[in-house]
Amino acid sequence: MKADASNEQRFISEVDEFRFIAADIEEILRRLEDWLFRLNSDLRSSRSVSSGLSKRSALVYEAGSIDTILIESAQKWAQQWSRLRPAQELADSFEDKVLLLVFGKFNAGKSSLCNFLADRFAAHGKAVEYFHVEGGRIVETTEPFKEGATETTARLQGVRLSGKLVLLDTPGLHSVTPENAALTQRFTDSADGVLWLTSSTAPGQVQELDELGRELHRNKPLLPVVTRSDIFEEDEVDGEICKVLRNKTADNRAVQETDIKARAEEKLTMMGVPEALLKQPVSVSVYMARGKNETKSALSDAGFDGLFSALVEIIEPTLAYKRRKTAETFLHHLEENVLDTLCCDVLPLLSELDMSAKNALAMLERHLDQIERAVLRNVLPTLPSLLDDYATTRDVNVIYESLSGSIAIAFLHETEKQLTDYTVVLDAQLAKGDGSDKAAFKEMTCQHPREKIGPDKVVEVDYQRLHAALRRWIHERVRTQSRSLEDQCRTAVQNLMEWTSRVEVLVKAQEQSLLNLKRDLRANHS
Amino acid sequence: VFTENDEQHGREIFSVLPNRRIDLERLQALLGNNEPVVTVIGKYNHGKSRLLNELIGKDTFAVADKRETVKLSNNIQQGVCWLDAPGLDADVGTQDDRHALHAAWLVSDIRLFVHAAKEGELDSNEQTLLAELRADSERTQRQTIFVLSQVDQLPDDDELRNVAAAINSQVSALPLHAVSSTRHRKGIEGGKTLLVERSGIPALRSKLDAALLRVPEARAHETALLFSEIFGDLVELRAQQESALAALVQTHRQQRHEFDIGLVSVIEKVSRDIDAMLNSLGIDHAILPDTAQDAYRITAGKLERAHIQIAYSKACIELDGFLAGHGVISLPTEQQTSASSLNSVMIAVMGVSVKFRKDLRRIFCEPSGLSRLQRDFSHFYELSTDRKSLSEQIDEVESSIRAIDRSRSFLETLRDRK
Repeated sequence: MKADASNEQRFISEVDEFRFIAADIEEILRRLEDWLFRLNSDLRSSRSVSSGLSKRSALVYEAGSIDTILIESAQKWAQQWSRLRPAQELADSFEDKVLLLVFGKFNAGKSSLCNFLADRFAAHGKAVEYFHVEGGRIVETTEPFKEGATETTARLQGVRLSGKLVLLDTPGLHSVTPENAALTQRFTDSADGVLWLTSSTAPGQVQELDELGRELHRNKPLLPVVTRSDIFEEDEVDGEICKVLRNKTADNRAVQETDIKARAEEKLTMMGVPEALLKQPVSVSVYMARGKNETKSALSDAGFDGLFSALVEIIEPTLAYKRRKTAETFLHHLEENVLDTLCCDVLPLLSELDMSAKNALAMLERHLDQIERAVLRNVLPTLPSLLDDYATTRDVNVIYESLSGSIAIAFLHETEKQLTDYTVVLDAQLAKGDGSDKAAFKEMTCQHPREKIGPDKVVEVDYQRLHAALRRWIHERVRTQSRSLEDQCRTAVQNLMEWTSRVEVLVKAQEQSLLNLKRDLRANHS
Repeated sequence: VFTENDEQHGREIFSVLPNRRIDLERLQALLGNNEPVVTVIGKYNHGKSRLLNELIGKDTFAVADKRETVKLSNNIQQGVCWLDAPGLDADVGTQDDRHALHAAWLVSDIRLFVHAAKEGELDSNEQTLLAELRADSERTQRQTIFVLSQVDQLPDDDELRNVAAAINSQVSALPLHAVSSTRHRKGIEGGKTLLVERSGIPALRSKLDAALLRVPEARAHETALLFSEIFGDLVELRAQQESALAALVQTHRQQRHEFDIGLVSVIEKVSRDIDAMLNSLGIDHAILPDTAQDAYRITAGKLERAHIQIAYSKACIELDGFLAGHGVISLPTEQQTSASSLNSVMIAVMGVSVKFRKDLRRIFCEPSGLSRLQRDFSHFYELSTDRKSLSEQIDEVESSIRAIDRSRSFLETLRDRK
């Protein structure tokens, strides 16, 4: 390279000399495939556990929707991967080219910058080929991009320079017509780096970068370009206003660039992408460069020397990216489709479910207290007449059976009313109690004389103690039954919670192992 | 204007009407009755601070060719409070921006919506904000003035017309005030009248002066509007709570009524049984003490004591069954003793046992005894778990109604104080 060559010449000749050497990426590809295989088989064997819970309960519904995602994911991922194939083919046809995404708002001056760069290549005798996307197809044209302060570009257009460098002017995915969406997406997917154009009028509206999240997460370098870095100066001369367009001063440009750099860094950190992707911002004025007949010094004053030098700098990492592109594409699929489903859809659902489960456990005790009280309110009032009815026959067994029956029925009724989220089993045995309880209640008659001679005299049947014992017995039975219900419910909820934490651990482990694979890929092939 | 007591009331209103937070804060600002507030709203670096400086005629706010204003700053000049708010969309995620915008929204009477001509059309954030401002103007009569700034940065008048047409197609029926602060400053400093005139600043200033004259009227309208809407909400809310309360009180009364009726009849029944039993006894043997030899005989006294004990326990059992049916199952926790066998309402009311005729008569057959039973059991009924939780619900609704009433009379005081 000639020492006195301008940055423009350096850039144009670098573009001319693009050579691609595919790196050996087979091993890392195999490891990525293994990762997906293991994940799929782990997920298949992780269905939710909902025994003890009613199918109509919110918990089962929530768990069910997680199950559905897990079951349907494998197929969905396969489809998404096959949809990425055309992008892969598109990328293949651009294999020996560098694709730069020219991103920015409608008034950021994207068209005029692209046209200007094309003109510079033409001025050096290089090929310039324009195209745009229409009706879902690529249409070649000789027309440069339309320019205008109030125009809204609603289609993707591009220009190939020297047959090696492609500038893609994208209107942003929001304003694309549906039939062009797929192709636009494929183009942006294939892009190797991003020029972020931001007007000097309100430079660095960093919220625009949200739209670039996908590209930045794909580790594509980001070069902020402050456009329209010029200013009209006016004066009143002989009763008329005269105006002159000037470049913004170097100081003024430096102030804006520093400000953008600082805020964009903050934004990237918030988005969780490496700050290193962000290049030093540059300021340019296409008007000033054109206005002064595109002389070498006009270009330099208008900021293009700086822009070309920055472009030279991003070509090298772009080429490195390109060499490992096949593996990167698969990795992106794993990150954006597979892990994204798990981390953005499944993990939040899991923690929501966990929260619901904890709430259910917290409510359980109160529900069962209410059930116990309702059963007691039902059963205890039957005691006086039962005792009356069986006093003459003194048939304690019938009383116990009758009470067991009422307790069982009351529980059935109350659980249907108040434990709708669970499928509990009411063990009738628990309402019956055992023989040792009954053994204590033989003293049904009393006030017999202690005389050794003559028969006992039965005054009347007294059942005060029997009543007290029965009352205690009822409380105990109700308590036991209620504990058994509580255990059943608690176990059901806890089983579900164990499942959620199992899946969560699994997802986090997979996430970590993919991060390791990504680190290896970028370390060994950059 | 606001006392400490007012602040307490203020906090209560916020909790009574959480959805009226912004309106209440705005009302607070209106009642402060300070100078009219003019604020600039728009993207950063569109020349908002510079515009204020030119309108005031004095370098009041700092300017730079980047995002400069990062917090709300105000300045009172010529009887007007000028408020410089940070530009929109500059910030990454800090809350400062939103707080500042919120504050500007609350205190401002006239909003200058600033948009730089060189940017062409409005973007979607600007359109949304402008639509909100215009809707608010409709409602509150606070004025919004569209300022197309930095027109000196357009190449010529044709371009200015293009930009104006593009913006007019986005927002209809809103006059655009084209201004250039730079032009104005240069004209003033160099004594160049054409620059001053073509800066649009004098025209904007007279538009602003006319708008300022209308501020008192607009404030009166807005104050009345906010009071009437908030009073309307309070009335509606009170009606909702009243009907919730009426339903709860009805349930509460009905339950008690059923309990009272049932208690009267169960007490009548046990009273009748005991009366019949006592009348069948004849001579009172129970008071005769047994002698030593009686230990081996069935004496009349023994028989009688047995009868009394049995009758008494039957009565207790009958009452216990009735109480349990109404949820009086155990003693309230605070009255329970460590001896669990004594933790029953029956024992608390009736004692452990009764041996003599006169005791039974006193408890079950005399008016004073009967009314004591009625009173004591009712007392424990009101302390039962289910009953208490119903009472608590009623208390909660009642206290929220009281809070509504306090808020209302506080607002009335504020309105009258004005």
